[in-house]
Amino acid sequence: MRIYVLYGFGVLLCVSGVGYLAAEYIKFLSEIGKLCCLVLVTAMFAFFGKFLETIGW
Amino acid sequence: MDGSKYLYLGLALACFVGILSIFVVDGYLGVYDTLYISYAEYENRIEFDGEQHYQAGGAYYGGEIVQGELVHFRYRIDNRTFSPCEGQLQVSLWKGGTWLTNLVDKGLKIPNFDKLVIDWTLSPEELPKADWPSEEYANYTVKISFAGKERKVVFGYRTRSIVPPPKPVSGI
Repeated sequence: MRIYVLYGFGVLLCVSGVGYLAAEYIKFLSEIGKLCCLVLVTAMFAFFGKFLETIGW
Repeated sequence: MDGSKYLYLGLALACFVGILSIFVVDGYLGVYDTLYISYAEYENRIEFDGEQHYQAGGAYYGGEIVQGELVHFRYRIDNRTFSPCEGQLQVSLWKGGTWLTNLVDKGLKIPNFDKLVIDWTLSPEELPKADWPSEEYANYTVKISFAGKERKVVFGYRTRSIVPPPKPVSGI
C-alpha cells in the first residue's frame, strides 16, 4: 500500500511539473498552435482512457 | 484485443509527440525582434518576445543614461517564417505622451528565414533643452513600430553621475 502512495506522489509531481512547464511555454505559442495543442491534449486523454479501459481499469 | 490496446496507447503517445512538436516548431517560428542599447561601457539587450525582461505598463526598461552621452541602438529583426516580412520601420522619441522627433523611418523587406540589423544613434542634441537643468532626471520613451507591432522602451536621462568620484589617495 505504501508503495502506491509513493507512486501516486511521484505521478502528482510529474503532472504538476509538466503542467507548470506547459503554462510557461504556452505563452510563446501562436493562437493556432494553442488550438492544435488543445485538440491533441483532448485526443491524448481520450486514447489513454480507452487504453486503460481495454486493459481492465 | 492486444492490437487495439496498443493502438490506443500508440495514438495517445503520437498525440503527446505532436504536442511536443508544436511547442518546438511554433515556438521557433515567427518574427522576433531584439533591441540592443549601448551607452558608456554598457550594453542592454531587450528580447521583446523571448526571455523575461522588466516591464511596466507595456513598456520595457532600457537603462539610465548620463546627460550628454550618445546612445547607440541596434535593432535586430529575425524573420523565422516561410514568407518575407515587409513593412515600414518607424522609431520615434516621446516624452510624457508628446512626440519629440523621428529617429528612423524606412521601409524594410526581410526574406524568409533571414535577419536584418538596423542601427541608429540618439544624440543629446535631439532631446529638448528646456528640460535641462531644471530636471535632474527625465524619462523618455522610444517607440518602435514595425509590421503591426509597437514596442516601447523607457530610459532615464540624468544630469549627474550617481557614481561618486574616486577618493583622493592620502599621504602623497
